[in-house]
Amino acid sequence: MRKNSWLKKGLAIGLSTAFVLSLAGCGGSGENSGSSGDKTIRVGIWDNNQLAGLQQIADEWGEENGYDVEFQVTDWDSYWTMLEAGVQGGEMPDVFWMHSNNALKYMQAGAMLNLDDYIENDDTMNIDDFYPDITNLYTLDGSHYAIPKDHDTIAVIYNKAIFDKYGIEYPTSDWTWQDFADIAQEISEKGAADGVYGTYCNSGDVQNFWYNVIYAFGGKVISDDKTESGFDDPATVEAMDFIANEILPGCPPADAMANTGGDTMFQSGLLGMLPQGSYDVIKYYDADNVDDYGWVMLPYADVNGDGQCQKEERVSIYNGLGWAAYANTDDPDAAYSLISHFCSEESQKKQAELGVTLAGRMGCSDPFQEAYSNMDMTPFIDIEDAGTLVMRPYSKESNWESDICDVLVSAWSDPSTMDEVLTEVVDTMNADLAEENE
Amino acid sequence: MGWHLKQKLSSGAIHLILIAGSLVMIVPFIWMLLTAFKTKTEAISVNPFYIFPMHGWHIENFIDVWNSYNFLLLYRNTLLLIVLRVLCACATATLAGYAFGRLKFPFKNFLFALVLVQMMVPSQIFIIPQYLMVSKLNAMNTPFGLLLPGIVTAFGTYLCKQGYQTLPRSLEEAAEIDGCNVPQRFLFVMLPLTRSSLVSLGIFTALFAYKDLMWPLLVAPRTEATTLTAALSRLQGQFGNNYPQIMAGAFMAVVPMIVLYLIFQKQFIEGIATSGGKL
Amino acid sequence: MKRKMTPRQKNEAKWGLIFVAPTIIGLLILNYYPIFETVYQSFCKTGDFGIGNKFIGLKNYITLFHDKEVFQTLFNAVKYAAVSLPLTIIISLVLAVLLNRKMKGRGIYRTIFFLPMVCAPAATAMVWKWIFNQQYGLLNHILGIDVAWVTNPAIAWLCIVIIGVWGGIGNNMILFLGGLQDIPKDYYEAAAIDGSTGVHSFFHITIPLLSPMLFFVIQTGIIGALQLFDLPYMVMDKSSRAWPTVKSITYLFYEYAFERSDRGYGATIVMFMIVIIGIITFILQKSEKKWVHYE
Repeated sequence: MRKNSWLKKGLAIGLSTAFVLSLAGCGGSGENSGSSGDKTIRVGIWDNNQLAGLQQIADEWGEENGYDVEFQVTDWDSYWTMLEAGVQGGEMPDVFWMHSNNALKYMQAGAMLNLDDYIENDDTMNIDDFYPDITNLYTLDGSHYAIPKDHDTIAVIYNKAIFDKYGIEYPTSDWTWQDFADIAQEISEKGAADGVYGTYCNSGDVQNFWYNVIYAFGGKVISDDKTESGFDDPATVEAMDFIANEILPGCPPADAMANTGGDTMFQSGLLGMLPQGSYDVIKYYDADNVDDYGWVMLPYADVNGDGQCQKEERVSIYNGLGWAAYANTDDPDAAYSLISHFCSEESQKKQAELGVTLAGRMGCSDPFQEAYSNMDMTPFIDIEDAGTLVMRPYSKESNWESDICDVLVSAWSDPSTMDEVLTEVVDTMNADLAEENE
Repeated sequence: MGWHLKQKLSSGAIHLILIAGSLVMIVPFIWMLLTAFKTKTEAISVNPFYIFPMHGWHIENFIDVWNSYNFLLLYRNTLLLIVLRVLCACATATLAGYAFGRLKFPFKNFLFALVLVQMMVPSQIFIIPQYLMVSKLNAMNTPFGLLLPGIVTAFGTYLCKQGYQTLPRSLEEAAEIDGCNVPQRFLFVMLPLTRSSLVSLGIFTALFAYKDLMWPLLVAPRTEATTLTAALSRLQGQFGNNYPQIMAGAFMAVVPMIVLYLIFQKQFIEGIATSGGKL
Repeated sequence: MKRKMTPRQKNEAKWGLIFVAPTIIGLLILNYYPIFETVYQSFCKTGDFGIGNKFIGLKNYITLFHDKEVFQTLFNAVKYAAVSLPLTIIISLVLAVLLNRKMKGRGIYRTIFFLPMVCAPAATAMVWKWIFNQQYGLLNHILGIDVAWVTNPAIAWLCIVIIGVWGGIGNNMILFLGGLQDIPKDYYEAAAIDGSTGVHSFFHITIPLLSPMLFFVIQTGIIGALQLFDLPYMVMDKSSRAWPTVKSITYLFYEYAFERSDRGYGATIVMFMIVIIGIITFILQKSEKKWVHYE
């Protein structure tokens, strides 16, 4: 080791120099946006896929107003842990996404800036231009706390190469959940040797998968007054039994699904079909085998057996995020101004055009259909007329959602136990709701 | 297995066992690097399965992760935390260790009991209140917040005390006769002699600061303010299925410490051995 | 009883107190106050966003004793320790014995086995998770099998054991190697003259002389099993049915105290952990006299 001593000394000197330099010089290199304003607005989001598009939209505003807009992306779980901590510790992004699952809790705690006065003084802003259901999510006692950023619907992506290989016809919008399940099972059967499966439905795939089935079957997840579980409703039970007996046999084994996400398996050519949200689309356009992908509307459940699709039989869960500002932000005017920019007609159209998401403002979503030249995304928009949109079930804290998913894991690994597990789901969910309303 | 059995095993067999073991140890690192150079599609191609990147070595995975995570800042934060923690730990622990090891003062046993009890209690019991302190002091996402639990160290104090205790009395007595007062004796006579326990403590503290996950997750949720380890845990959630980028991030997070280790091997290994590897 | 101190003693006492002051004040503020705060909090219910403590007496403790998850996580620690400790000890002991002699490449082997010790577990855990991946993982492809390593409840915890052992043997090997080098050669020579075989002297000389180190490794290993956090956090998918069989009690604490902001119950879980660790330490100390030999 002796001969290394010069190296050590050199390294020690080099390291300390680098350290001093990095301390001195790093002040400005931290921000990742391009514009050179002297003030900074921090924006918190949880979806990395949307970052590039949103940064582009935000930078327009930043250049105009002399701000750096600094995005902070964290995954879903850490995002909420971070906001929780932020509300207590005061270290919060100035502008951030809000979700139906948590909105009420944050509004009641006074963590979100009341936007009423700002909206009033903003000529470009008319809250009625937005999807009312989504606006409602972020309204408490008549006051607005967030402005809809987007809305989302669900459609099914399928891999034509797999359908061709096993000689199955491509799905059309005139299909039922039973058709979906039959095709899925057929693919799983024929693809067994290749490790290919028909579809993918994990216990946690609520919004993009089995919530849709429940509502198409006429069931419900939560009572309208949000105090009781809907999992003892006969239609809900029927839908869940359908998942267990018809859908899951067309899926990879539960352990395999827990191992790898559906989007990954789909992209590696292991899945025939996969229901995805409009916010997921951006993951697919740059895949190597994108030419094999097709999109089709969600199936319907022929509840009355007349062989036709009534509007209420085809349901897409929908939801929308809100742009909110932190109640104690240092610069509420700028925060609102940025929100107003994100929600302006132009930005909302651009957001759709860039393929980030559908718009939160009504009538701005059409550019989304042509966002990707290699994928036709009309099914996301068509379902708004051809079917019914149901707001994603939520309550004040929505803790029950992850809890019931945990309980359902055992039904996923042994579908024959679904009915027993559902009684446990009802108990768990009602207990959570009772605590929430305490 | 004394030297008897060892003689029976031929040296070839021993090498065979050790080489096999070494392979198991380094395969994860090789796989991390190989994956990091692949395209996303290559990494998740099932049939055929690629061991090596087939479509060229994609260095841009590193660049993408470097940029989107601002690794420069992560390195800086981590380095700053390590330096602060090591300085604080060494400074407070060597002072207290000297006093406990060599001086007589009131309540000495009681105060040393405080040190010992802290060492026996699992650190989880401190976390909630420490976290609330950071939050009340408005120190979230600051170097100070990250440093807070490491300002003093009971374990380091104990380690230093052991170091001072083993030194012969005569040295200090000679210095005292020469008219040195307590701080002078400490600074000029004793401290230089305990360099090795300070190096141990320093390496132990540095590794601990570098590896710690829960604390930076809690007090430095902002990507620009956090440490490598905590940022890595986000990487996984954020990049979802982009395994090459995840592996590129993991590689960049481990490589500085590995380089340091390869250079200062002896100190690292001694440091861990004397501090009992209480990691 | 107070004897008057000489000026010299007074001076020494003054400096002694000054020298320990930073550490003691730090410990009081950063560690002792938190202990009492946590104890108090374990009797409270925390409001939304962790704001406000409502005293609810023993309610958290009653909930805890009916909480299956707490005992499941405890059991997880037991089985983790029961498998990983013997494995780590045996492998690192064998390595130490093999390396305890002059041989070519000794330094290189030592460097390689110690390598995981200087890597953040968060990083290596991600690599292992990738290796264990069922669809795209290296392991399944090399072995030509299709095993759901980290999502099958029967084996997921063993994956964590493997990663833990992989990361821990280097450290223990170094400890044992140091111990072996301290054993005088003539012990073995004397035993050989008495006709003792290699295996016999291993169990009658090596093991007893290494017993203080073994004791240390076992003690820290058991407590470490309860404090496991980064490995399960990084490797496991929280929606898999294997998650409950791997979850550590420290993760449970993190989940309640920070993800759900239920600090009261989080504090109760910590108190439970302390009691368990206390019991374990007590039992170990009792057993120490029976088999650990200090020179």
